Amino acid sequence: MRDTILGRALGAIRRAWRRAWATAATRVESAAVLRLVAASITAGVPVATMLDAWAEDGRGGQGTRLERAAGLLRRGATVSEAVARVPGLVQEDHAVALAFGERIGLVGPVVRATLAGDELLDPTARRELRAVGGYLAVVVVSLCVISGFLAIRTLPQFLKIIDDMGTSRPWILVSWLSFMEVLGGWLWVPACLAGMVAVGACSATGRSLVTRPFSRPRRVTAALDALAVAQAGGLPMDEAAVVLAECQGDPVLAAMLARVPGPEPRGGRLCAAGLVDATQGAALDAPAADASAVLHAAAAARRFQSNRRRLVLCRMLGPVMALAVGVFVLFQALAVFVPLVEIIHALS
Amino acid sequence: MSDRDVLARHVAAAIERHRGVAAYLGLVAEAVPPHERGPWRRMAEAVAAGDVAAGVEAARRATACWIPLIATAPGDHRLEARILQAATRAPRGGGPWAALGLALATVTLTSVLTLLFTTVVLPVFEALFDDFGMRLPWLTRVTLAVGPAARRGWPLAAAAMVLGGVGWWFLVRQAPRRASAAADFTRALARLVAGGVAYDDALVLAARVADAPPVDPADPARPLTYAAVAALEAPPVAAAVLLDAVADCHDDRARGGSSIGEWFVGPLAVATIGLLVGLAVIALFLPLVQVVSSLS
Repeated sequence: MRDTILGRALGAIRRAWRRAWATAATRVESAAVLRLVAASITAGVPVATMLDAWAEDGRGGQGTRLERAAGLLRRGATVSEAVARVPGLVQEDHAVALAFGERIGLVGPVVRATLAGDELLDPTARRELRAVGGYLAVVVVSLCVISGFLAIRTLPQFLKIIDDMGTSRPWILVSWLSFMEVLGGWLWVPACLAGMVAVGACSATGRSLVTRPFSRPRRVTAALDALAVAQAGGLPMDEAAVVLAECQGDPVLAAMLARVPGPEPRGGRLCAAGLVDATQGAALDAPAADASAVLHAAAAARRFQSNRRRLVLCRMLGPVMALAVGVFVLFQALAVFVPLVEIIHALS
Repeated sequence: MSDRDVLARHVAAAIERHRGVAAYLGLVAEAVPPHERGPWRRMAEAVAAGDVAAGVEAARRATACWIPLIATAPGDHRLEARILQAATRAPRGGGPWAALGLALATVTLTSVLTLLFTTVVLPVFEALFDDFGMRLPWLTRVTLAVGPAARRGWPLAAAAMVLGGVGWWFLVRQAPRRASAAADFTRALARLVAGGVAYDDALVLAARVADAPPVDPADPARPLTYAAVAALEAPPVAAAVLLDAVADCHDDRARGGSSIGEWFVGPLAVATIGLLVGLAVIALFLPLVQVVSSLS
């Protein structure tokens, strides 16, 4: 099939399609690369072979990126070099895990720990976040369309009628106009947000810059997991922290990790660096403490807190949004109907 | 040798190897939800009685349940854990009816609202505006034109909406199902290869697990992927590791695909109904402004 004219034509179409849609890997695509790299290294099979095969099964731009990465690996590049030279092949924190695992010689364990604790691969979390985002987008867009139409088409007519009749504008209409004026002064906020979304959609680097502050708690959790794996693998904490700092793309987190090396106690240093809290730091410094287990527990605690915050946000946002939209619509409806009733009264 | 012969040979060997696990299988059958109990109970009974024919029949109907037995060597203490893992696998999506239910609810609600609006509300306003004899705004004219069209062609519109809903459900369900089948197939293949089953037999049994036609590694087609074929070129231990990783990748895809149907329909329903109602209200409200304007 692959050697026939039809097979070659289909291959050419697929490559053109992939080039046209070459953006950046989704979370699932990025995780797949990590899994295949780790499994290939564990199994002693060339990574390039598996990436090439996965590219055949893949869709979109990721297929092209996988083929490029496989080509680089065949020419002697290391996995982290290939990842660095093929932008968008894996997401930034996954690239950090690969680079760190490769530097300390524990790609498999680091990748397993990274993916096991990856909240963004959890379909429930993704569903909740997308549902909230979807509702928010739908409500805001519907509100903008309908309110904009009323504000542009209907209100000017009302104002003209009221002014022609020489009657005073009802207080609700005056309040609405003032409110809209204030709102107009804040239009730069949605404009900035739209700009950020556009930058994020067009460029992987831009997206990582925009999302970095929001994803930092998740990266700190991943860093704790990575340090725990290094500890279990017998690597001293200072050395692991230095290597991890060098692999980081986030300068703030790299600076935090760079503060870890130093004289004992190590728990106190991690706490001073802002990676663990005082209790976890004390647990690390306890006599005969299993540093790897404590670090994994610290990561799990952070993950639990972050999940709880996400859950609260997702559950609260719906009712809050409904209330805000309800008040907005009521205000607007009164601003439109009260003058109408007053005009009819005046005419009758 | 036919696929059925391959299955029969492995089931017979599994029954012979694992007679002692029959009691545990009975416990598992009691512990799983009632609608999943049948295959486990039939397997427990076949293994307890050493009845190969009953075992083959049970395996033909639910091959996935038999993979732990077929892929585990005698005396391997991991057998019970593998059976439990196979019996308690977490569902990937919100159930087979979740996406269809939401899609149909959306379509039905939108259709009923549109129908009520066009048959009850619009004629009243149409008569009112006719009495005034005024030139209506374009939005109102469009909305009023929907009424007669909807009254004439509502059966066609309803059929189109139902078809649209079913089509949506089909897309939502089938896209992840392809990934689910690949995940199930590859996971079963990994277990069988790790258990020392010959590659050709493993492919036959794994295809039965995914309820797929026979696969050919020389010309891979779903659920057999190129990655799985590449993995099978390695020795069995390495191949099992690679196949497990490939199955994890397909699992991630399947889970991601399932969730689309569950998060997208709600906002879509809100947007559709909200825009319909909002535009209709505005369309009918604009002429009132004109009336007041001309009266004043």
